[in-house]
Amino acid sequence: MSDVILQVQDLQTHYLLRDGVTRAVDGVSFDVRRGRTLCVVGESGCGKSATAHSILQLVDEPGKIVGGRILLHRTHGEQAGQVVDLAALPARGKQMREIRGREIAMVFQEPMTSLSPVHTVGDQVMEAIRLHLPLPEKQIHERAVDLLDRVRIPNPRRHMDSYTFQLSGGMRQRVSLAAALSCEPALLIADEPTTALDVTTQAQILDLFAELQQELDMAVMFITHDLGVVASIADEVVVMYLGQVAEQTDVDSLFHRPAHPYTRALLSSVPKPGTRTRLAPIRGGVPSPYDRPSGCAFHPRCDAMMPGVCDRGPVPLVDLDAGRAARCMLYTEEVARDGEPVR
Amino acid sequence: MMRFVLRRLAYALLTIWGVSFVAFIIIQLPPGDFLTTSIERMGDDGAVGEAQIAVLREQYGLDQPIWVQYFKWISGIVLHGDFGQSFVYHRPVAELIGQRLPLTIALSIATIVFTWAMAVPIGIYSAVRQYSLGDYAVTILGFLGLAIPSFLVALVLLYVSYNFFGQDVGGLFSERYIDAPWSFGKVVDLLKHMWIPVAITGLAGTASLIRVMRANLLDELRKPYVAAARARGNSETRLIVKYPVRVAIAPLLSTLGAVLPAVVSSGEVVAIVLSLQTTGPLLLSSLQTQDMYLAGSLIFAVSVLTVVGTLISDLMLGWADPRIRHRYS
Repeated sequence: MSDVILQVQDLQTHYLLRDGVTRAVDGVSFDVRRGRTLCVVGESGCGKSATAHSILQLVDEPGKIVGGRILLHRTHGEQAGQVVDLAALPARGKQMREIRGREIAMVFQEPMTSLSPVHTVGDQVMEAIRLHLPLPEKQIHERAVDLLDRVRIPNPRRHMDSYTFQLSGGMRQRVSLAAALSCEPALLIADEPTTALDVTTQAQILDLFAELQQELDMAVMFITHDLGVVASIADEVVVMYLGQVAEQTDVDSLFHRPAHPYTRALLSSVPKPGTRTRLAPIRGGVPSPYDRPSGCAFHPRCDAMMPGVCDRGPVPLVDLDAGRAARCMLYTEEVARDGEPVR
Repeated sequence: MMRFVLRRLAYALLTIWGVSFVAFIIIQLPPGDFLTTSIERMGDDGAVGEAQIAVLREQYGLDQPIWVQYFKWISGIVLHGDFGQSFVYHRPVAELIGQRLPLTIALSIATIVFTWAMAVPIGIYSAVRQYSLGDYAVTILGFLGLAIPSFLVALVLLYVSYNFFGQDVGGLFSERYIDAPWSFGKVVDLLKHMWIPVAITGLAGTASLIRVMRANLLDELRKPYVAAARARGNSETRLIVKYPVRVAIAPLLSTLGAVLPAVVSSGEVVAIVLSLQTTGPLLLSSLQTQDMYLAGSLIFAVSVLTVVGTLISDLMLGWADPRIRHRYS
């Protein structure tokens, strides 16, 4: 267990809106380990980003962490070895600020908007170093140049004075990555960092992620809706649906023996080169969070739906073999005993 | 940056040149020429000989084509600082304006500084604490400030201060300083009197700037780069001032050019009510008496101020927003 950097336990993040409460994150648990990549997958609105933002307490009003724990095993500074519950820290407090950018860094989805348009590249890359490391200005500058070089920005010294509007999308995302890695964080959270990029650039950025992760021995939590991205970088995978974990698995099992019908549906909705079978999109859409289906949230769209079983009562997350788990009635003891277990 | 500055300067000079035409046309606009008015007035006192009229006509070049007249007028201004004669006051226009323009500029700059110093922090507070009690209070006060005409505030203030404190807040100087030469005492006296017109004319501007600042900042606060800066470990105050405020203030800078003439002109009514020695009342009376050289010159001077204000705001905007300055390099 010494390799565990972050333990999310029964996290609940709700949006307290005038029309009611939206349970964006509804009891999510997972671990992120040093040197490993955890991919969080799901359709839009399934709570992936809300989970990521909760970890750094960046959830905007009217969102609020209302339950659960986010345990960070600290590795830096005087507190190394201690465990701190991020969910219990005040969002604007000093302790949270010391962790942000230092122990946990984040890369955002839109490289166009996640960097300031009116500050130079150098300024934004040096900022976290200035905030967290007591280094002389000259060394900070050198470190930033070195970081830009490591994320493969050509002519890094010159680009320190560039503005982000002078760079391409891929370059901007490299700058974001350099800024995030500037203090060598123990955990990097990447919120769909390649979604806004074209496929070629996406592949380059993913390679860069993998490479830098190995170099720095970081834990990475990577949020994406793209199963191709999952295949290329994930070690472990959490599949989310409507704020809950639908399936938890290693990457091989995800593709070779998916347990949850939702996961299977996701996989069969992705085109595979070389096959000529018809694509099977998941029928229906993600239900409105105000109108959450009873029982299993996925049952109205599920091919294996068992009337009278799936549409009533909460569905437990059932442990399968080798650390896998699925939130599905098919794997509960009573169904497995009485009838037709699928796997 | 240099190219940007030069380009802006060139545009400003071109605009001033264009404005000079307009001012000249205004001078020429009334039926007849200004001599007609002047002769009429002289005629009241006694007969004016044809010969005398002819002399005056030649002196002002009124028998020549209009472009020659324009050339005479503009070269007089540029080369000799000669704006022509005011025939109501029987004094050179340059002298009349020279007395009042510096005061007007001082009052305008003080008003702008006051407006910004009030509006920007309040706007920031109002946006960061959106829908808080303070935000609502500021919003209500802001709309009140927008809705109440400034001359009314001036009248009320005059009444209240005179009736209850026995203090006359009109004018820019106490009586004993009005005609006195400039001295330290006179400056102190000016500052003592100035805050009232500054606060009154700045009221509406402050109220609208608060709204603009609040709206701009609310747009920026939700941008991912703010969350990204927060995720790097910045404190709230530091990150708000460094990132969204910096971006949100840029559109405000671009309104500075428009604020300058607005302050000068909205100041007019207040200036009349408070009997301030600025250019506003002078312009009004010159228009009423068809003192066209004075009126045209004042309009020209105020327009030049506007162009200069726009130039300054353009340069500040270029300094604040690299996207604008880099478009020219």
